[in-house]
Amino acid sequence: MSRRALISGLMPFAGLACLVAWPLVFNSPYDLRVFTLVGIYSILVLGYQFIFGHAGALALTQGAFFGIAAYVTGILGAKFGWSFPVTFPLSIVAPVLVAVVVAIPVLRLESHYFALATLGIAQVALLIAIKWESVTGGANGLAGVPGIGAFGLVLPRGYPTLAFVWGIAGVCALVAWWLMRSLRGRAFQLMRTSELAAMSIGLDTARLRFLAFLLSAAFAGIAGALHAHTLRVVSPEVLEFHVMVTCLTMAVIGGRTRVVGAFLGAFLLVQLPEWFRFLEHYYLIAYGGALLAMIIVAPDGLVGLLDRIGARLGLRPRHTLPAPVPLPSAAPEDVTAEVPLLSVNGLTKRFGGVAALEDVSFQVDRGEIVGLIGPNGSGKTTLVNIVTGLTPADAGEVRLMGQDITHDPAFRIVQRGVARTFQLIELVDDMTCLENVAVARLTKLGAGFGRSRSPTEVDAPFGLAKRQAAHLLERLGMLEAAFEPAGNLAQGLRRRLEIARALALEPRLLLLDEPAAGLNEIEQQDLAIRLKGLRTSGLALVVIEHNVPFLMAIADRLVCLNAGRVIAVGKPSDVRADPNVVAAYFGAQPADGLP
Amino acid sequence: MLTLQLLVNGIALGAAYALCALGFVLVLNATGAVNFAQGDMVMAGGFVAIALVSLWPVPGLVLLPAVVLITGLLGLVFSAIGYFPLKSRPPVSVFISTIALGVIFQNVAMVTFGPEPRATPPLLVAGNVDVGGLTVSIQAIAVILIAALLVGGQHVLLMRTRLGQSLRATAQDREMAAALGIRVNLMIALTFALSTALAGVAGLLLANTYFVTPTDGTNYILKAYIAATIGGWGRLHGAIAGAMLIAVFEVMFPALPLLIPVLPVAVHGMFSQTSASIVLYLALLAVLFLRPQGLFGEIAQRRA
Amino acid sequence: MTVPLLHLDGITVHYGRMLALCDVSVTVRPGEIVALVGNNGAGKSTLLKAVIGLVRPSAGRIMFSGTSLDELDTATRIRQGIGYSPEGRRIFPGMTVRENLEVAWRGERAAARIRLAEVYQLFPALEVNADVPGWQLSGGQQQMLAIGRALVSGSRLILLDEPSLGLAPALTRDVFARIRNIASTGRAVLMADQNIATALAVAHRICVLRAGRLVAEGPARSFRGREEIAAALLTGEPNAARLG
Repeated sequence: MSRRALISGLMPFAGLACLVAWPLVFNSPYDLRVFTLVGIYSILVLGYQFIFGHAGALALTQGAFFGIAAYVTGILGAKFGWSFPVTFPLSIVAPVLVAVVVAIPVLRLESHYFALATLGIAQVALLIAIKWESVTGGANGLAGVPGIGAFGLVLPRGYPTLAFVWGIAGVCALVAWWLMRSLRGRAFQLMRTSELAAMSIGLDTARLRFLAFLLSAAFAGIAGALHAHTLRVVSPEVLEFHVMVTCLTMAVIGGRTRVVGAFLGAFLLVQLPEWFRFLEHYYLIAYGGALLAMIIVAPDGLVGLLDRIGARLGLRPRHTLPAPVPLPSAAPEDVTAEVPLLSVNGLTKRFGGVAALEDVSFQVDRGEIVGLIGPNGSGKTTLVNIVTGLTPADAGEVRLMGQDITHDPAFRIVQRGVARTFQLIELVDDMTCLENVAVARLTKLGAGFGRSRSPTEVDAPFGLAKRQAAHLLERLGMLEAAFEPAGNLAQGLRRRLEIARALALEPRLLLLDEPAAGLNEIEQQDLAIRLKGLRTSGLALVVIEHNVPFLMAIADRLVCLNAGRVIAVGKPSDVRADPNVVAAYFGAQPADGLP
Repeated sequence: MLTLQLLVNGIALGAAYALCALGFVLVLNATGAVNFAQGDMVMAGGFVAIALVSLWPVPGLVLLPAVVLITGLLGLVFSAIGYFPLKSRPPVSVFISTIALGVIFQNVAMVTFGPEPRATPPLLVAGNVDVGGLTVSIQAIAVILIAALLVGGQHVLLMRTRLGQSLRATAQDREMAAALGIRVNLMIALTFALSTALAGVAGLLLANTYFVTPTDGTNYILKAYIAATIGGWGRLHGAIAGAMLIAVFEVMFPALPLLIPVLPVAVHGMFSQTSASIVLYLALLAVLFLRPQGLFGEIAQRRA
Repeated sequence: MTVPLLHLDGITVHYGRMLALCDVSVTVRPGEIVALVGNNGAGKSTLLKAVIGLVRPSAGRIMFSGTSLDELDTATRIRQGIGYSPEGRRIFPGMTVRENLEVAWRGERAAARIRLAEVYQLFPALEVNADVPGWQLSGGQQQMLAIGRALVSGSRLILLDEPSLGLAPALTRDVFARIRNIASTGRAVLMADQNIATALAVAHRICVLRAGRLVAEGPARSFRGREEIAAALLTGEPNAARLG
């Protein structure tokens, strides 16, 4: 057996064995309770990983959700005597409802606003808990929270409660793992890396962040309820900021996106203080120091470090190339020759008082390559941004196969069949080329977040996506780079990879923003040939370029913009020789009289 | 009468908040980063004063220069550990590092001074003074004067000195400032020092009337943040105005039943310190939702 | 043959994996005005930024007045005697015209007034608006201010990135006449301009960049027709001409 297989096979077993052995070895009632807390915090951090790790948003509400759930359990259990089967679901629903209400104003804020707005919410919760004495018991909290049980039977403290909590932790781990593996996890990774790129493959990033936020609240609810049952009391302590700091520290130290990281972080940061309890408040200083050290030295946490060590030891996963599968061919019903593929009419856009685009009209037909040229500031990128829905137009319309898409959001336009590439290529450097392309199949294959399929089919979309991605890589002549991290590629290959990803969206129209930028002569020639080859099956290309000679070789027609207006349209050789075009590139002349 | 007295207290509180918020916005503008430990620096200022006083029993005013110096130096250390190593990382990293530093500060204070609230001596003397029929505490007047002096001094520094010009240039466009020969890293370190020194003084000013505990930091950073948001993110004068609004509100709100006798007794319980804070946070969320550029901010005031 | 003030030797710049400049060498002598022309994306701005260290070349050396700049940070390079007016102007929006100029002046406080007076003489509109905050200025006024900032410190080498953007033709004429005067006192100018007409009118030498490469270079008068350059940019036979 290879060393690699041995180690990677044994590791999970070893970990699991330690996990089971631990409470058997350290079995005083106190130790068991501490270990139960490890399980509870693991659930809390698993939840936090959705919003903080996967969605990449620094939310500071996780502690608040935890505390709210603990209080719901505490109040319903201690004051009203309701039992676990009723209080548990309600303790999950409560923070989720708060999350829904809070998400609306808060999620669309930029990162620092978002973080501190969520902190404000947490403070409100804390203050309400202290103030609302009649319900929450005020500063002293509520005692007499029942244990976990139903119909008069209660789980005793010690092993039974521990086993139950860890059982739930196990289920949560499986759910988290299942939700975030394969295509969805990659989609989140793309969103973290580049919001723009995520939108350009049709992801509704706002919705993804919203769902991640709700999931984090739900998991926090589970953890909070279990916490109240384990401790049998609930007090304002559960809503204090140090719970949030603890959760954040666990995620940063363990690892932000990996399930194992949540357990690792929880274990270390619950157990270590216990071992150093004699140091009292000094251990909190060490906490802060550890968090600081980690964020500077190893932002991916211990799991990230372990990964890197594993890579050094040659434990890279071995890849087998999937058999390429072509994409489904375009539906024949919408191939009507009458209506142009893209029709832009009277498009106008102003920024401040300046007209970036002024009454721009042109059209693109199937199978055409149209080049868009013009001096700097002529409005080319603005035009593409409007067509793809990233910027709203002030006037005019954009029609795709006759349908008005002028005011559609970006992700809907992608779904209708418009794809684009960017001047600055936005790939996920840490993902393989295959995965970078496969992730773009997400919206087409329907493995969308929230639309869950049966567990047995969990890998089917990802597997199919990878096979289709392999086909696209083959088509662009880069199949051998399938398992290279995208960050290792030279510029020419990166551009090809980006085009492959755009093709994965089954577009009818592909807009390329300065594809030849940064390429040497050989790479440019190669790209030109490949772009010409893409015109099969009716795909049309609009290529913005400053590199006019590059366009001359591939374009069927050129459109020249200057100062937001179309000044020439037609065959490349005609446009290039057009005196207006030459003058535009030459620049306005100062009056004569310069020495 | 009561209203005016409360107003004076509110302004005194607001003056201290304003120093904290000012420092917060200075660092924000210079680095684009949120210094989460700014509130803990206020707490640190209070405890530095307490430590000094145990060695050297003098009025608070005499301690002022020492507090400024020590908290300013802390700011330099702060920038060296919490900001510069993370300069090229996403801003979230600095946010987290400053959270970590805040935790460290809090617990160093806890370990050194214990959890009980402590007070510093008054700036000048304790007691009240009669001002036109109004009984006003001398401390409140002293706080307002000192804070006004410092805000004025900071204004003069930034607007009238070459150093101040360089600091402002760094805050408005760091790369361009370097391209004009300004040593931007030095400017950023100095901005941190100035920011923490202002927070430290705020702590000294507040610790006599309001006491200081190691866990005060979270409260102060939130006040600074709310002030900055209400005033218009990144605007110095807006932050000061926001701070004053918050403080006056905090002082007046619990006293509303006394000020407005027509309010039914049944709702008197609703007007407390805690509910004032709750209303404050809700107001913050409302501002973020309805008018994110703040009361005084203008969206046009972005970089040319 | 005067000693070059600025010598860029084999400069190659990458943005990530993107090749922005490839093996570009440019020399500027005291009293000389050299213009870089080329399309957007050709690398003109990148080259200017490389001189002052806002981008770091992956290969090549930069010598300024005999001193190697390669190890120095941006502020230190500027303090060697370089003035910079960036593309997009980047004036400090919250500072007045006067303050924008003052902050660029590195020397004695007293001498600043004389320097500012020189700039005001060149751009009277700036003196009129001396106390207006930057964000309220028009595009043209901001451009004047940006150029003024580059001039005020009395640097030996002045880098101008798209200086004619936003300036009315008459003012452009004026400004470049003054720049010619400044050069005649021994200072040097390296400018990037998309406006070929402007470049030809003011510069002593032209360097044509396309897709990160130097494709043509020579004295301005030897570029026979302006249309030739435009055509060269549009058709771009590489290494078209070494003229003059």
